[in-house]
Amino acid sequence: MINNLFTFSGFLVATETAEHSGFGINTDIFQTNLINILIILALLIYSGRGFLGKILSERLANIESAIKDAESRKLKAAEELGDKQKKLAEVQAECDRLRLQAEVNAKSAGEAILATIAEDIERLKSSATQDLANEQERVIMQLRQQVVQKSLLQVKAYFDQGLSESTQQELVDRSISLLVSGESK
Amino acid sequence: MINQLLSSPQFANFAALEVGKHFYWQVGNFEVHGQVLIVSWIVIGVLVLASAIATSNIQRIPVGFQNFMEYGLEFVQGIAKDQIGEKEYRPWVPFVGSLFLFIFVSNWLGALVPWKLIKIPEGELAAPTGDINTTVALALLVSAAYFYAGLSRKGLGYFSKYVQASPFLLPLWVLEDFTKPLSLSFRLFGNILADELVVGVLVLLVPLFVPLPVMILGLFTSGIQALIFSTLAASYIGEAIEGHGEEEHEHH
Repeated sequence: MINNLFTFSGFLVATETAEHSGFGINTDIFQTNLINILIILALLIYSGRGFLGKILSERLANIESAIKDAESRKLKAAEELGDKQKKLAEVQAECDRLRLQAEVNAKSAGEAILATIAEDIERLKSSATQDLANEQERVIMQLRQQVVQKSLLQVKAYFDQGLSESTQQELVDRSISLLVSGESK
Repeated sequence: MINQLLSSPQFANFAALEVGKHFYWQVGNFEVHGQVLIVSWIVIGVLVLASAIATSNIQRIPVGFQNFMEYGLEFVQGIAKDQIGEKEYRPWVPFVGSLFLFIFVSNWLGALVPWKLIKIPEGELAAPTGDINTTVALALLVSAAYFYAGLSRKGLGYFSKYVQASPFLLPLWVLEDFTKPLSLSFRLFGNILADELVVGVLVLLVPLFVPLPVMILGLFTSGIQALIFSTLAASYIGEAIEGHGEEEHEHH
């Protein structure tokens, strides 16, 4: 204790002189608390390494698993995307095929329709000409009948006016001669 | 007995060394505490270096030091998120995180580095947070930060919370704006300085092994103090951002 006191008072003097001597290194191990600090540091490293190491390795594992998870999900998503893209391409090809077929169908259908229309036109034309001929014939017949009727009427009117004796005679004679000639034949 | 102890030369020497004396630098008209600035720079250097090393070779799967620093980042993010809320915390992570890391590293470097090996002309190197100037500066930064947070969010309407509950509470609210930095700075300063003093006294009396429990306790307290400081800073900011004074008064 006395020794201690002595060193401390000695230190007082030392610091008094140190104040004016500027920077330096204090080599008094007890005074600088070096041993205690080293012990504390050792304790800290010893206990902290396990504790902190556990926390950090856990964190690392968590991050790793999260990243792995995300990566696998990304891979799956990419796979799905490829799948869907393939399907899309297929559908597009199918679409193209259908469109082509539809175009062909449309063309052939158009041609068929055009052909039938031409046929129809032809048919209609022929029927129209036939109708025209029929009508003409009918009209001619009608005209004939009308002419006959008219002449008959005229003849009747002529007869109604009365025939002269000689004429009647002549007619009768002619008729008889006609009959005779007809019989002889 | 105690009188004897206090008047004994080693104690006077000790007290003079620990508290009273500073390594003054003259900057313009100001006298600054050089030993605090030196250790602060070392702390800042450690932090910057650690960040630089951790981000120099960034891997997608963080291993080793990067993993450790990311863990630290998540921790300070957690402080800000818990106090400010999921929606608003992001812009405040750098501020709150810097507070926590600076205070924490200051405290631990102050306790774990044998600074007394290095003699400086006057005073001694120690944790910067054991100096009232540092803690007051940090606390005033927090005050500025939460005023800025409130004013930038609500404009002058921020001050309406002072009279919202009752106009009679106005003096209390105003008083609180002064007590917040005061309590922040004194709490941190007091804890760190007290820890250093207790360790110093014990080292003086019994140099070996006896100070160990106190030093371990000191490490624990230092960490807690850093956490408390940054948590309270974040909570003040969160309170300023949040809706008007419905939230209950904080106990600390």
